Amino acid sequence: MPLPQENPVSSSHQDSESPSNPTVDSPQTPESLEGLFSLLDDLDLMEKPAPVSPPPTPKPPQKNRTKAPPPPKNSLSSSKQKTKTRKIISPLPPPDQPKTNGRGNTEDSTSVSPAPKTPLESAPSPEGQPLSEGRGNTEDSTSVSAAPKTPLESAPSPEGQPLSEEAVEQLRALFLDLLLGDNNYPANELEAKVAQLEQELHSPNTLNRLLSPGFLQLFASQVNQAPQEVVQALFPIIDLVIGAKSHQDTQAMSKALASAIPGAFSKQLGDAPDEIIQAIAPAMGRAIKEQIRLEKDAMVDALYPVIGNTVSKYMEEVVSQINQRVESAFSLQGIYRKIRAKMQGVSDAELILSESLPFTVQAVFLIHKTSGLVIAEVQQEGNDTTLEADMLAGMLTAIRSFASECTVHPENTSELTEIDYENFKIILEVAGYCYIAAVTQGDPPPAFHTKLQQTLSAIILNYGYGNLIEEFNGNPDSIPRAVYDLLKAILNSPLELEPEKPTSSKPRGVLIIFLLLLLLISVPLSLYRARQHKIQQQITTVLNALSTTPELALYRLDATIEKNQLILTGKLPNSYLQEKAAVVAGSIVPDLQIDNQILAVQVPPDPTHIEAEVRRHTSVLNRIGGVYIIAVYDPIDNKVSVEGSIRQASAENIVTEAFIQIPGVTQVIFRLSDRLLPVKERIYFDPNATNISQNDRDNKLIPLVDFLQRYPYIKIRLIGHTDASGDEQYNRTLAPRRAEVVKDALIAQGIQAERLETKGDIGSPPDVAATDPFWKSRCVRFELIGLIETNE
Amino acid sequence: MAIISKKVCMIGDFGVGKTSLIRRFVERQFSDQYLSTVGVKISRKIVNLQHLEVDLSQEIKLLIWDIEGQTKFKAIASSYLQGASGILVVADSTRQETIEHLQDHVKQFVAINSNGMIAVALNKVDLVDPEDIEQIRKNMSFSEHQVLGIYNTSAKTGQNVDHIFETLAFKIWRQDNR
Repeated sequence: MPLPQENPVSSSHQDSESPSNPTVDSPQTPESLEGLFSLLDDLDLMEKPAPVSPPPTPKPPQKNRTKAPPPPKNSLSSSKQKTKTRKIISPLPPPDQPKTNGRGNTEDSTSVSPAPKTPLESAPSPEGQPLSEGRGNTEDSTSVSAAPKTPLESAPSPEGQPLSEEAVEQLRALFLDLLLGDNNYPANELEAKVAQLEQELHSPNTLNRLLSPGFLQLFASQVNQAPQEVVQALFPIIDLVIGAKSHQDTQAMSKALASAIPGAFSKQLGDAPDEIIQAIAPAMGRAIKEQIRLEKDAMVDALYPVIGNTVSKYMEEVVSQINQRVESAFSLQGIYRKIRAKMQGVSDAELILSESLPFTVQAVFLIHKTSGLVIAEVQQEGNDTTLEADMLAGMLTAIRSFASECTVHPENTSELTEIDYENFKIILEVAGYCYIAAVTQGDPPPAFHTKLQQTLSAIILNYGYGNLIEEFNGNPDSIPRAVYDLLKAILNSPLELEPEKPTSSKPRGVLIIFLLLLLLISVPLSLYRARQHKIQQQITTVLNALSTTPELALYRLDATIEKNQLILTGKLPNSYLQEKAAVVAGSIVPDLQIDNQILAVQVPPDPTHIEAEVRRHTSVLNRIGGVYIIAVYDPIDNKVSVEGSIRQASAENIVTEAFIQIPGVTQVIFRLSDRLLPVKERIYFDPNATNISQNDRDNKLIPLVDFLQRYPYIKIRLIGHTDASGDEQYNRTLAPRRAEVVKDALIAQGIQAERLETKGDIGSPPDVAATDPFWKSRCVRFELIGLIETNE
Repeated sequence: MAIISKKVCMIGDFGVGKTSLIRRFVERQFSDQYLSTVGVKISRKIVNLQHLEVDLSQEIKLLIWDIEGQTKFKAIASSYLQGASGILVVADSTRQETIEHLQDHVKQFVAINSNGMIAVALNKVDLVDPEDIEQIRKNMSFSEHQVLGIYNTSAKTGQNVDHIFETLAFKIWRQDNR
């Protein structure tokens, strides 16, 4: 660093001619030193230019220069002066370092000045090495005292104390000795003083006192003259300095920087706003949160002008939409909305509000069902954040897998259909090998689900074949562009359904009109159908009555009802049956008039049919109490011969009418008698006997054989009885044995065995009481069974 | 050429280092801290097959399903394995029982997906002497042809981590393009 104070020194010697006693000037030691400088200047040693010529510096004050003692012109002192001025450049070694060679400084100074060297000055010493004992230190002390040209009175030491008076005195004496008469001091004393002086100068306090004023002035001068060099010298440590100061005294540092930071901030915002934004952005959220925590009201006030207006504008739109919907409350759309609200279990107002909030689709993904790979995706452009399709698809698939794993019942095939977050929803529509996931905001209307279903159906129907989706290999190029277009349609028109589907109120109106027409048609039709049903029921009832009437059961009759009139049609063999049919029908539907259009036709008799009919009637008539008859049809004369007994006369008419109504039967002949039919007779036995008496053979068995031969279609059952006197086990054998004996007798008379059934009964016959004689119970009785079997 | 996505699952007993392998492969990080995986976690990384075949400029996006570790009381959710093109079966080379369970995991995957590729990782080899590792490998054998091989891995040192994932990705791609 160049020396700054040479010119002032050289220019001041004019004022320092007047002699003065240096010792008297004390305690103003700097003034004394200044006098010394003036003295040296008088020796014209300072006139020589420095190796590096420094820029002109302001001259220090000159007011004290008159007090400097007159310097004797001496070559030695001239040499020392040059050394002194040069040594300001060299840094002073720390006082505790070992002193090895004090002559190095002298060498440095010699390199600057060509003046003759004294023995002291000639000792070389590398620059920067610790100063050695002796003259080097002396030179240092002189250089320090010579450097500042400001008045020392006004530049106290950092501690605020004046220079040591003793040191100044010693220094002054030393220089006086050197200048005025080297012979005044012995060499050893001189060395001792120099050593003492050196020791004192190595004291930090002393150095501070001596160097501070000059250093500051030098620094100020350098800043003015070469600010870039000062910057270069300081910038490597300026952050350390600031950091250390901030750490030591934060408040002071804050105070020092406070006034500069706003300006710096504004400047940077103007010059490079992005850098400021990037620096501040990460902390903005936390800063706002902290501010809200500390002072919520202030934050509300600050944001209200912005957010309040935004909310107001948004709410105005919502309210406007709500008003429109309320105004249309009694329109067809309003009524429809009320119905939907009832069906959804929400209030009308809730439905209106949910419909007023905007519904948007942020993204749509077509995802492979098992692997979770994204087959195709579309997202809204212009969004700040793009959804991570792969991660979202994977997690959705994992959730679906997890849910399916947790399903308790294996037959439960329910699917995950919706994931509801606070601010958005993920709507899922699942198909066989893929599913659609739509990320939405707002309440999705039902039409959106239909849209998803339609889209998924279209994808599967058009592109699901050929295992394109089932075996999706993760290559997006394999997916047709049309699939993306379908997904985009969801994104851009989430509620626009396929054209063939009814979407608006217009088709709904058509639907209502159609329903009304359907109602207009269906009501009369229903009434007509009800009437027809009633008529049909009446007809069915009439026909059932006709078919259950024995006389009419064989004939096909029909009935219709027209205008409160029952029309009977069909054919009957005679007018009797014709009238009978009308009577039967009239009893069933008394409120209808009977139009009997049944034709009475004469049909040729069928002997087989007539015979079967006679048998059937005979069987029916024998169920009447007191009627025991056998009827035989004679196909030649078309007559029916009735044998047997009829106890009541009224029953005889019934029998007659029954047979005469049989088509083809023209005559009924009775051969009734008081005698019982042979089958009503009984064969009696002696106790424990099974043989038939001759009397019974002649009077009962032979007529029975004749009867059976006359009516070959008859079958009879032979029932053997015993009295109650014998052993029960014995009687169980005896009773059927008696029946078998009679059966064998009948077979012996030519009666076929298959017409005869036997049975044993150890009890008495039904008409024999327990109090009756035992012989009434020892018998075989007969029952007709043949007619019934023949009829079957 | 479009990036092809493939689903790959990590299965193995609990604590064998499945998550650490993924973290090393995807995030290039490792931590000794053990955090048990609950359910499944999905990670993603794009693998360039050029690392294995210079002439091949195909990129594979691996979607790696980190499935929670299995125990004898808690079997793996089989539905997680559906649709996986390959799996990485991991065992802890310091725990013999995890090595013994490798065969069960392989069979379970083959039963679900007979075409999927399988790579077996003997993890934490940095904690075992090389001689012991060799002995373990000698005692291991897999009859399933889908098994690509047994790899000594260490999520801590990164040994073979990239290699096993890249090899698996390559084999999966090659199977699709045979």
